[in-house]
Amino acid sequence: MDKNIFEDRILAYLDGSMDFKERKEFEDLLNHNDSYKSLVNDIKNNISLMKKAEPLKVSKNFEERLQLRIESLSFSNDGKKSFFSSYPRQWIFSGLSVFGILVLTFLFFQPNSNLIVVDENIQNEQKNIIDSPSKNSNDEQIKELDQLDNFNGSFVNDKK
Amino acid sequence: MTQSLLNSSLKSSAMNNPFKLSDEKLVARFVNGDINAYKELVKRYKDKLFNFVMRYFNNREQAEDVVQETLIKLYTHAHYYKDIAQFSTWIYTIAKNNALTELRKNKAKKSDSMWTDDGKFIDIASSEIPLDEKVQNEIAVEKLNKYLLELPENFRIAVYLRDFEEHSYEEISMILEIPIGTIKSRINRGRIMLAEKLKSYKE
Repeated sequence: MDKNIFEDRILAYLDGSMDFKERKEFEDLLNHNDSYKSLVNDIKNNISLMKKAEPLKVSKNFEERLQLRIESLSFSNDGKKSFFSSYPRQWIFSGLSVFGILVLTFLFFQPNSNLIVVDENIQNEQKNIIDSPSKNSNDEQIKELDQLDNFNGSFVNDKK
Repeated sequence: MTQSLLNSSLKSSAMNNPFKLSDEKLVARFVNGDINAYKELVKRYKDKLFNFVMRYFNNREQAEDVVQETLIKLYTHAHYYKDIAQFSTWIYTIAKNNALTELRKNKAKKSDSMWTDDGKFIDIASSEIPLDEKVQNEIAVEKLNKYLLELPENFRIAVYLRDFEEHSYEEISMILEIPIGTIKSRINRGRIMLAEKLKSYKE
């Protein structure tokens, strides 16, 4: 068996995830190749040594230093956090956005808002400009409208 | 009756005892303002995280700093923890990210704690004093640790999490944010490299 293929299969062998046939083949190979066998044994030994290893410990004042660092933060010392820290940031931003939209809606769409009054004033001014060109033309328009009314009235009477 | 009352009081005291609670329940308690739950989590994880982070630095001071940063993050961001993953996976991922950030900052710095001033490898095993089996084991582990530190980071961390910490492949995959297949391959390669290094050292 190629060395690379053999090495790739070591993990499966040590995990016990090979089926019976694969395992048998692999063990036959180990029994016929000393360098392969020695490598697998070394790995096995290393793993068992690592499992026996005594874990390192942090220094004795570790927790004190941690506490000092926590106390130096802006959070309160009794473990309860400030208002903003107890909510995810996206909640705060969504809340502020909704509030902003409500404020803008209130400003632009309330019936007595100054903006609408200004708008009405502009409309009135425009109307005055349209209406003002000459008094004569107004009188003529009124006459034309009267004539039209009379004509419609006679049309209705004719039908009757 | 008295017996059942005693049992129930024992049960309730066990429920209230943070030592009996799972990590996930402790986080939930801490999020609800129980500072003792946080203290218990610190007790449970300070050494574990320290051992893990030491595989990135091999420098006690830096490793402790990174662990402190991680535990402070737990303090300030515990509400971000979701019950989808195990708490240990979550906290190890934070520690890994902190360690990598710190490594990037100190890329130029070189850890020299396992080397002598003139650049020679410190060999404790060469002592001529007879040693009992336990001490010999300790030395072997120390040597193993030192050779492990010589492996490229990708292989070193994967081997450490699997063989020292005995995490499952799934957990390692989540902590390192790498597919399981890659994790398995790195562990296998790392173990082979380590065995070959030790062998060449013995020869």
